[in-house]
This record gives sequence, structure tokens and C-alpha cells, in this order.
Amino acid sequence: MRFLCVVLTFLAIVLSIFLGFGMYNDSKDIERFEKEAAVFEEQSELYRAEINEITPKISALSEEKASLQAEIDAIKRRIIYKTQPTAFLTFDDGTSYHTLEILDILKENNIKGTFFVVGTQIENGGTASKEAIKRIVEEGHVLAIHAYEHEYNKIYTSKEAYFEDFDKIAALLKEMTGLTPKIVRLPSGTYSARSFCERYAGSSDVYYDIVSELYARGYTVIDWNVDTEDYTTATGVTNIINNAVSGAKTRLSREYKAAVILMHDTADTVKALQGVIDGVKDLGMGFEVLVQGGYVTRQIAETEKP
Amino acid sequence: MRQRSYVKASSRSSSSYYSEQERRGRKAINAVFVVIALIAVIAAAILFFKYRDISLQREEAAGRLAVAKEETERLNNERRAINTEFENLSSELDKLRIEYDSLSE
Ligand SMILES: [Zn+2]
Repeated sequence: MRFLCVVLTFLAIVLSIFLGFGMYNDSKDIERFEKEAAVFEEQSELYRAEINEITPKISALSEEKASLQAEIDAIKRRIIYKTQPTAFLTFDDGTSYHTLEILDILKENNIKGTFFVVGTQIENGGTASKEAIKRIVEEGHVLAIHAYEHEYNKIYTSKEAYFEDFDKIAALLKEMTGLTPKIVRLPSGTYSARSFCERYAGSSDVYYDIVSELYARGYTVIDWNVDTEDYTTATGVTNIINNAVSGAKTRLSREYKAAVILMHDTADTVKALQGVIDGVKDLGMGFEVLVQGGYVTRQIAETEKP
Repeated sequence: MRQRSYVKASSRSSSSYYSEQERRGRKAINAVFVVIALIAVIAAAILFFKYRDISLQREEAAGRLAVAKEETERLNNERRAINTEFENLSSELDKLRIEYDSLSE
């Protein structure tokens, strides 16, 4: 009995000593692990702070890079017109059966044009107007926005009135073609549009509000720098051709040899178009369409915004 | 004879008296032994459970350390990547600025 007790006690003591050593080692380990973990956590904190510091800098740099790249791309697209004389044939106020004839002539000459279309013309022009919209897209021309109603005393009464009209033509074109045209020409051009805003809205601020809103929505506003004056039958076919060719010629002596030629959806324009094309070609100019980030001419520069 | 027998008897009785005493003493000592053994065993058992606790704590601490280490490594990699990205962006931007200046001239 005693022997058993002694053995048991002895075993218990031996076990306790082992356990004691084990516990001592373990608690030393725990202390060491915790110290090391604290060091790692401290280091993590430093890394986190560094990451938090750099992340906003990176997004700022990315933004700067993107805008600089866009500017460079725009300059590069424009810069070719310093050495490469180019004409942009633009046709306002369509579409109608005249547009179909214009498209035929452009097709024969293998030239692409830019069409600033009007909603009421499309809706009231019967099948020819609709066919013209279809062909503009199918034949690789640029479909661009002019207005739904070409009524200065309506669209220039307020920013809201302008965009009510604008949204209508944008929706119509989207419905007909599935496209969202991004090139816009204000009815009457920017210079007169500003005057109309003064007259009908009481302030030129409305004009600046309209243009900055268009840009905020991702559109590009483009006027013209050559006027054929084909909006009136008084001009006549010969003068339309002369106006286009002499206007384009004056652009050749400019820094940017780019002629954005304003024409309209009229019978005389159809008659004059081949003459315009031949005359402009004789000046050594090529033909292109207006695109975003490309050549832009504006009577009132965007930087003029007060 | 009587005397002897008395002595005998008394000696007998005294011898049986001593052995009773002895037995009690031995019992007490046995009890002490048992108690000591019991205490030792209980103490060992308590120590064993404590040891198990501490072992568990050690495992946990080791786990936490591993997690902290991993997190630090991950953050370090992220930091390096982000620094590289920053440097790349900076140099790209410098190139673009040079290009822009040359185009603007
Ligand atoms: Zn118009």
C-alpha cells in the first residue's frame, strides 16, 4: 500500500516537473509569439499607412494621365491638318428626298459627309426622310444632332426648353438607328445662338449653360468656318460653289488647313454639290467627317465661357 | 504459578495492547501516505489541465503570429505593387508631358 502510494507520489512529482517545464516553455513561447506578432502588426500598420497615402496619389496621377492623353490625342488628330488640307462637308436641316440625292453624289465620289439632322424634317418628310437616315448610317457617314424643332424662339427661351427639344431628337435618332450621335451643331451656330438666348431667354448665360451642359453630357459642339450661303435660293448654284471653294481656299493659308463647309438640305445644294467637291478637290484637299476629339471649329470658343 | 500466569497474562495482554497501538499508528501513517499520494496525484492532474490550457494558448498565439506574419507579407506585397504602379505612372506622365510640350510648340 505504502509502496503504491510512494510510487504514485513519485510519478505525480515526476509528471508535475515535466508539466512544469512544459508550461514554462509554453508561456515563454507565448510571450515570444506575442512579441513577434506585435512587431508584425506594427509593420503592417506602417505598410497600411503607406498604401493609404499612395492610393489617392495614384488615382490623381491616373486622372491626370487620362486627361493629358486625351489632349495629346486631340492635338495629334488636329495636327495632321497643319500639313494635310482637309474639307469636312456638312449638311444641315435634313433629312428629305434631297438628302437621298446628296447621298448618291457622295457615293459616286466615294466621300463621307456629316449630317446635322432635324427631327421635324425626319418625321414629316415621309419615307424619303427615314430612308435617308438609314442610308447615312449604312453608308458610313456621320449622323449628328441639330435640333428636333428648328425654332429659335422655342429652343432658345431657356436651358430647359433647349434640352427638352434636344432629348427629343436624340431619342428619335436612337430609336431609328440605335446610335447616340455625339456631334452637335446648334441651330444658327453658336454666335447667333448666343444672340437668340439674349433675345428669347433674356440672357446670354443661357447659351453658356446649354453648351457647358452639352459638354458635361459628353457631346462636342461644332460650327463651320466656310459658309456656302445655300440656305437661301437667292444665292444660286454658281455662288454656292464659289462660296465653298473660295472659303476652303482661305483655310489653306491658316495654321490648320481644315475647311468645315456648311451646306443645307436644299435643291440648289444638290445641284451645286458635284461642283463643290470638284473645286475643293482641285485645291488639293481631302475629305473627312467630323468626329469627337477631332477637328473642331467654333465661333464662340468654349474657353470664352465667363 | 499464579504470578507467572499473571505475568504471562499481563504480558500477553500488553502485547495485544501494543499491537493495537501499532496497527493504529500504521493505519495513520498509511492514511498520511494515501493523502500525500492523493494530493500529489490531484496536483498533477490540476497541473495537467493547466498545461493543456497553456498548450492551447500557445497554439492560439502561434496561429495569431502566423496570421500577423501573413498579413504583413500581403501588405508588403501590396505596398510594393502600389509603389511600382506609382513609379510607372509618374514616368509615363513625365513622358506624356514631354510629348505634350513638343506638340504644343
Ligand atoms: Zn439649321
